[in-house]
Amino acid sequence: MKKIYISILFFMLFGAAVSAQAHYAGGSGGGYASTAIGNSTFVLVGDSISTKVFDVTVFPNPLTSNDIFKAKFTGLKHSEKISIVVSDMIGSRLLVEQVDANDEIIINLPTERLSKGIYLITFQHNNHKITRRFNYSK
Amino acid sequence: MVNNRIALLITIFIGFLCFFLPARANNLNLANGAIAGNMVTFEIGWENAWNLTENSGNHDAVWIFVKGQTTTGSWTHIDVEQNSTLHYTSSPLTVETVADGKGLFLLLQAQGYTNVEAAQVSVKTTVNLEEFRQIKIFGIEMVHIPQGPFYLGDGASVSSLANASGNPILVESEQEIDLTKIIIHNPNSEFSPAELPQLLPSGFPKGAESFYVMKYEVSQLQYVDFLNTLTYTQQKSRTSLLPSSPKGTFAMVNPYQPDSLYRNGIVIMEPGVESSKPARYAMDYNKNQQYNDNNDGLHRASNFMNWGDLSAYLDWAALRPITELEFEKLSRGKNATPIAGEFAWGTATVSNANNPTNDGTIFESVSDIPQSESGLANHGTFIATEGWGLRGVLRTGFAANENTNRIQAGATYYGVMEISGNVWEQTIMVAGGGENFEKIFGDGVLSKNGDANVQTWCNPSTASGVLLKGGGWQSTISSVGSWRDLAISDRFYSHLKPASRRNSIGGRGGR
Repeated sequence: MKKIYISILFFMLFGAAVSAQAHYAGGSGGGYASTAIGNSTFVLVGDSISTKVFDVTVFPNPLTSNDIFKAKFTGLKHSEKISIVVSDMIGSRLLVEQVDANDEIIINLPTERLSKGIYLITFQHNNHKITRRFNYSK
Repeated sequence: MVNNRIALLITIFIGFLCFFLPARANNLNLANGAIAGNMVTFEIGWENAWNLTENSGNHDAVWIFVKGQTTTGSWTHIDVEQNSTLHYTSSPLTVETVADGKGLFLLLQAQGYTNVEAAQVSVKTTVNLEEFRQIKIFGIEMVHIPQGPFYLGDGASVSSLANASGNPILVESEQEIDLTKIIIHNPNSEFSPAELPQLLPSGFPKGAESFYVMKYEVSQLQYVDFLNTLTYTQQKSRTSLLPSSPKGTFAMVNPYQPDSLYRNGIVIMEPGVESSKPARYAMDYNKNQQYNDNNDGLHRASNFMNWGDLSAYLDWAALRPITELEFEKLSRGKNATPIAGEFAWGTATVSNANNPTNDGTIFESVSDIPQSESGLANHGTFIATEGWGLRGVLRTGFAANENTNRIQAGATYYGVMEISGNVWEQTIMVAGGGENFEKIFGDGVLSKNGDANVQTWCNPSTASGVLLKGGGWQSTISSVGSWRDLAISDRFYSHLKPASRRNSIGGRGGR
């Protein structure tokens, strides 16, 4: 019985693909996007330009296992929810957590899982994301 | 038994959701970029990605390339490593590198179709990115056209290519073609068609081998981003009005008819200064000085592009123009028997897209319903009560949604959008010098005056050897064998060199 259900689901998902040459679907927006990294006044988010609504700095950077890793925010009210994702340069996530914004917060890195190298930390508030990178050495 | 029924209901419900829930994201999104040394990482998402190659179908992909702004303010193209193992992407994507390292393709690894949501990508470039003031990543959705024979010409359209009997020609390889055995069928009686040379060399891309083509026409936002990486002098060549013109000036339109926008919203956001500071461009179709807002028609096709503009864009994006043979292949499909006067969607009838909905937004579409077997296309009409129709361009991909078929989407056999209508496509012709064109890609770097500078490409100033195909928003449709701009084999304008900016001309590229 389980196999039948899986077959039904597979057909609903991919059934049309059996006879189709291409996929003639489309959506909103367009088939073009860009994103910028650096000291730009504007930040391109997907394919619409919006001004930054908040900013963040992380310190110390470079960071060692003896340091306390912190983030400092501007443009946010206290207790607004911020999600934090720390990942390595090939996208593996090492930390996912949600915190309340303060002027300055401590980020509890899983240092036992970090080796020497460069990491990315992404802060998201509503639909706005900012990524910073930091250098970690044991 | 009860558990089985619940499981069945859950299964059907999940399938229902997958089929019918509207897509939320934009067609293509790049976000959350970061750099470290030679590596650049970012997230990518796009709707309706497909890979049907194991069912004799084709696939789409996104062409990714990187530019860097140096500390002096100028922009340069950044090459990426040619070894695919040096790049990384999370599921469901895979990386396809190219020999010249000017960018790379991202495509679905598994068979089927899906919305790609925030896949992680790391690209290794050949330079230290930290030396730049700013890095920009660009993505363009492309469609892969597989290897295979196809028919050229439809035996009916004006000035179409045909064999000595006036019938379509089967193109089976990239070998040279003896053009003395090919005729111009039903030649244009109003303007003499460009004469065919003796030979079409083997280096001219004929469409028998596989290639990529942009899924959509170049959009206005795409052109804005391009302009914003050029010098003042280069911008001067690639726009209609001086980059030093006042803030809010519409930059691409006819300077003698500044209010005739034909739905083009490219403006000067910050005027440039000759020889020292380039202008900054943005979209502001609704003239509210809120640049690039959600009603500015960001994704409408870019019109007012002459050959110099399109070829410069393609050189800058490390792409190349497509030929008129490739245009017919990507439209008609492999081995498909031509239909006299057929349009991109494979029938000889059309429904006019004339009444915009959600005008200017990312959801811009039309309320017009395509009639049976009649694809939806933005084209003109002579009917007095309807005037000239929409009088301008629509959003690229306006006719397609998550449930459309080929006819409803106005798509070609391989899923390429707006080949018939919206803006005229600029292709390389088999005559007028175009026959010397070879498959050489742009290197991302323009000449100092902003022209494409790639060997064998048609001259950016004279546009000799360039052929307009597919019709535009103003094109009217007459009977088969007569004036019928949108027909894929039509070559009515082979005498015309698109050196001037016209309100209905744009284009797309390939690789």
